[in-house]
Amino acid sequence: MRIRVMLAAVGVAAMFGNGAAQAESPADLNDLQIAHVAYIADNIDIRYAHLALAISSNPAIHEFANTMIRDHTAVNEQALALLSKLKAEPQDNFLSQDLLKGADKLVDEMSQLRGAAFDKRYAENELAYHKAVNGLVANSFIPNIENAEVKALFKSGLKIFQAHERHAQMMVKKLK
Amino acid sequence: MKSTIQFPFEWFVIAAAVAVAISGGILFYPTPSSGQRQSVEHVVGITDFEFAPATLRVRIGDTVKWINRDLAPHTATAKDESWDTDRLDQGEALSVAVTRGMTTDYYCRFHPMMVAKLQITTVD
Ligand SMILES: [Cu+2]
Repeated sequence: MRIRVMLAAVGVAAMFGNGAAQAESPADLNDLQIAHVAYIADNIDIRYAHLALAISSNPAIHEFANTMIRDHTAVNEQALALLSKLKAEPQDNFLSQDLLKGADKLVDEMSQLRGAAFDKRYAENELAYHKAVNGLVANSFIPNIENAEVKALFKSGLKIFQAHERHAQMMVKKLK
Repeated sequence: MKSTIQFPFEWFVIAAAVAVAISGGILFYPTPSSGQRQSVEHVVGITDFEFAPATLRVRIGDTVKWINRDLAPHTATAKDESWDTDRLDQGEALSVAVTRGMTTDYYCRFHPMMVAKLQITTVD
């Protein structure tokens, strides 16, 4: 439900445009665009987790997926609360769109897999995905965020996603 | 200036009395002369995916209170799941009593790489 609502919101934003200057690189994004990317990135991981819960029968994968849903939901709730306090709307942008396209492709691909092949693919992708997002957050987002409260939220978010990266690393090793 | 030098001992007594009053029963307790010891409530903070302190010295009859200061929910769960705080959201806390023979190694069920332990001591 959450994902559908989010996708609908993205669609509406794309139709009406958002009036923001076109950004070309992640470092050019403004705070509201960065917030949008983070929200999309959170929801993508929640989407992968729901796929894992539906396909996998490995208890460790289920536990990991439930943790992804629980933690990313907690971050999103804080992000939405902060944005509403700041009376700000996240802005759609090229990076959010790229992430969504990548996720669509991967969900299609992973949906074809079953059993150990799925578990391995899911775990490896979780590791790669958290690594990529953490790099983006640490190197491109946190140094460029202007609002102090938004920056603080990203710093706590980064701690969580770094823990997920370690957790994913552990899972990849276990599945080998 | 001279007048302030006349009272240091009294100040010390007052400060010491206040310190004992504040800390007694929270983190420290005065060494009991009667041999009966008050139970202590210890606090383990959960911050940035770590239990602090990672090893906590406790005694039978004490309680341990876990406080989650992270945005992410956590648990403190015995390694064999014989006791469990269950889900603690940000700002939530739960106390567990220290009992004889209890499992002392614990972890977070949500983030299994988070591990810590209690160390039950019997010496004063
Ligand atoms: Cu945890």
